[in-house]
Amino acid sequence: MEVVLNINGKDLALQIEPGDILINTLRNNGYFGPKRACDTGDCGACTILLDGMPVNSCLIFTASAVGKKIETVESLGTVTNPHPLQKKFVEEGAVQCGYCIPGMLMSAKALLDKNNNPTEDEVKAALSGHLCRCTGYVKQIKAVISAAEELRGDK
Amino acid sequence: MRGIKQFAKPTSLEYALKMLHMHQGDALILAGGTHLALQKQTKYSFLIDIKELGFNYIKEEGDNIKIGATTRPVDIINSDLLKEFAGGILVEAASKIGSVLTRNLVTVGGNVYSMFPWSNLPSALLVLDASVELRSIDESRIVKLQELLQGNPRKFVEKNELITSIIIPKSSKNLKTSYKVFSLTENDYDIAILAVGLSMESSICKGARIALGAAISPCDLLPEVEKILENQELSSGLIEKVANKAIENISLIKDFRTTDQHRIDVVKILIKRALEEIRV
Repeated sequence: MEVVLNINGKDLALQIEPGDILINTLRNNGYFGPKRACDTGDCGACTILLDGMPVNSCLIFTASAVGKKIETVESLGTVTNPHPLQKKFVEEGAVQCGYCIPGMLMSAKALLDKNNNPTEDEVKAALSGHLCRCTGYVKQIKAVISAAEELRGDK
Repeated sequence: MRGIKQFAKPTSLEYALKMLHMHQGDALILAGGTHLALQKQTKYSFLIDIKELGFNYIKEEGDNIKIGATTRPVDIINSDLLKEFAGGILVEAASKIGSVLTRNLVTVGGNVYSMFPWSNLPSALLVLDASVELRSIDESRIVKLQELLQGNPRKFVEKNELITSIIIPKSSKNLKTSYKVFSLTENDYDIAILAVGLSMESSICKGARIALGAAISPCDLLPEVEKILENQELSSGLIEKVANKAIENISLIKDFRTTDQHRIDVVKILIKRALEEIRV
């Protein structure tokens, strides 16, 4: 079946199977930000934003996402012009192997879009769907709070 | 998911029911999809996505609160109406579902229909005396949630029927409630789920509803345990008696993660904690 998906602000006409899962469609079409890890909705590595809400793209049928706004980590920033979240994750040393980070950044973005002055508990709650097996979570929490400060213009 | 040949996303209930009627026996209903998306293969060839039918709502309707079948846990958690209702037991139960990410996907209807042992909402809904509204092309029926669960939803719901809403009587509003779960780790499936709703007159319990899930399946009310509480003062002695009664004839499901004795101990402790919480 032919569908049009809105990915990172661009409409993309794609040929898909009716039973296709979104993470596969995204990765097969060059969006390598969402990572496949557990494939069961437990780890959060495949997180994208669907109409602004963080969700596991391994649990969504591609055809269900038609008419919705899909955002992957590719929409955040570039190497030369990173989003404050990406910048702070690097500065705080919150990234080691990096596999969980694209998902975590999307959840953090969804939080900061709603609330630009989150408490530590709010950051913890927002990131609670993500498993990181390298760093622990302290630096990532710090990075989100620090990015929020930058976005507010406090720093 | 291999095997699916057609995908439809109807925007009206009538059209969805017509489709379901035409393809009955060959159609899968897609709501949150958190379970369906995990299946690699299916014998069904038609997938009907029901998320655009306008069933994402929580509203008051006469003597009831009605929750649309595709309402998500995140909607329940953010509902001012449910925050106040029966001590917020549904908000508490919804916040225990999966992770913050899956709570944006799961639906109430799917949670009730799939009825995995670890499903969080059914036990809380049992305590609130909920009913389920089912619609087909030529019929509409409302059944007690308990009846649906005991009849195994996958068999009870006819092939051409759709769960459209969950109905909670407002008479459950003033129940004193407690909702407890136990899992080995924060994001593991629950080993025991306990929901309690008591109607209290000062320290006297006039009526009780206690639902146990995860340790038994399907989750169910414990009428013999509830009887002990009726018209009694909620003392620590009575709580001990209730906890002992609850584990007397418990028929546990198989669970490789822990021993039967451990789960029995867990159920007993959860009952004690829940009742103590209400007593204070």
